[in-house]
Amino acid sequence: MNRRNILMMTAALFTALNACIEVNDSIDNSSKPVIDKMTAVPASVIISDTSVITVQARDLNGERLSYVWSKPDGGDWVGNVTGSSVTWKAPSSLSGGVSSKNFRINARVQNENKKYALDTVMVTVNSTQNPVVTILSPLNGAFIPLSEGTVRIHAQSSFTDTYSMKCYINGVPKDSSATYVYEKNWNIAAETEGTKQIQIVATRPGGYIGTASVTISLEGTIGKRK
Amino acid sequence: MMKKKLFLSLALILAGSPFYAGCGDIDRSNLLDPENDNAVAGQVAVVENFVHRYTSGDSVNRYIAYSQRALYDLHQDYAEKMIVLEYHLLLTDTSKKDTLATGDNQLRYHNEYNTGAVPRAFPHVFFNGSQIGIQGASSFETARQRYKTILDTMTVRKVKLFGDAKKTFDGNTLRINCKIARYGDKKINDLLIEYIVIENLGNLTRYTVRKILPPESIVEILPGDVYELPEKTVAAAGLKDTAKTDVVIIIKDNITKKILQACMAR
Repeated sequence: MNRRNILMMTAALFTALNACIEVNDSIDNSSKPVIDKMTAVPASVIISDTSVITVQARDLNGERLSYVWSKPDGGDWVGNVTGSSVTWKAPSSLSGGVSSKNFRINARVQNENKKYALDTVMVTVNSTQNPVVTILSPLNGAFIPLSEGTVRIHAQSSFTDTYSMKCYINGVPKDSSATYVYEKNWNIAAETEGTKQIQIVATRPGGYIGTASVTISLEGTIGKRK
Repeated sequence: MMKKKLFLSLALILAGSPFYAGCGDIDRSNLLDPENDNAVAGQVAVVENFVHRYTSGDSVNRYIAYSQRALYDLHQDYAEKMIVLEYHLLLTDTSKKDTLATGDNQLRYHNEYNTGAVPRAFPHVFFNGSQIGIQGASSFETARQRYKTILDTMTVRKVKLFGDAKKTFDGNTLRINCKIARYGDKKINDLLIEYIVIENLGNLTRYTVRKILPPESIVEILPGDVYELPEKTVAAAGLKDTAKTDVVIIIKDNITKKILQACMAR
């Protein structure tokens, strides 16, 4: 056996040993369950609405798993709370006058050897008092030639007591209206070509806020403007 | 207008046409054979770009360049499924000249393609007639994507019309011969045939429209027929390089002006 063969055999033996060590390590770790995924569907609800929380876990030794759920920020359980999937119900109101709040749902997955894994998912609860803003014009994804000269921006809030509709172009305040309808022309003659985001923020009594945005593309032209 | 209805066998009718050469030997399952009831041809997309180039300063506005480069790039992908035409027009700002602009181009834009629905502004690109138009460009990528979306839909279509044309230079005269085959089992009425002479003048003037010839009209083509148009002649004077000159034949619906099919004279 020449020197090269001895070296190759040594390398192979070393690799095999390493592989064994890794396998043994994974067996040690398998005493603790593994959580592959935890979801909340939907992840965003309105008050008193429900969300289904599911945890996908496995035990590498094939041991039976048990589930312990907790809701440190409140809300209620609906139905059975011992399986891998539970139903959580949002509270009927949000404290502190906020328009939305995040609620944590914790899962503890335990095997027969009392080894466990933890995970958390967040559910956002929105107050129904928030206005819903709809931008009627321009349409999201529209291409608008600069030769048009102006773009009509038309939006409305779902609450008629909305007292402010602010318009932002690429995050920069443009102007506002004091009613639940925003309908104004945007002079694009001096704008540069490219993508622009139009955002409308509606505010109503109680500090409830709703927002919507569309992205458009201004297409450059030369020639006469209207 | 001279009209010839050809009742000879297909091989005789099409003798001399490279597309149809040897058709007498082909079987009736060939989808380019007008006598095959299932014959179809791929839809050719005609992309007409109305542009302006400041020849007074010899510069191309970036919006125009985005549009042109996007079409040049797409032409490499679509090849014979796509024909590009560039019409140069003047601006209302007369200080910016474009020596490639012609009165015919102006008439085409204002009388047929943009009759006032939108402001006059360039680039203004039309796809198979005035029905689908895209005005302006914000980048090469955006323009390319927008054009490609339309071309993808357009070029997958099959149509029952097929055009074949030949061009020859005879001294200072350009001669154009064209035949149009009607496929399927229905006749077609009221066609308008346009002849557009283009010249490759180099960078960003690759498909420059140099002459728009008087069109021909066809009352009807019966199913399975091949219609031969009268020879068209035009003075080649004024063309810079006949080797870089092509003729585009556009077959339009004479009522709607929609482009039904097109071909390049070879």
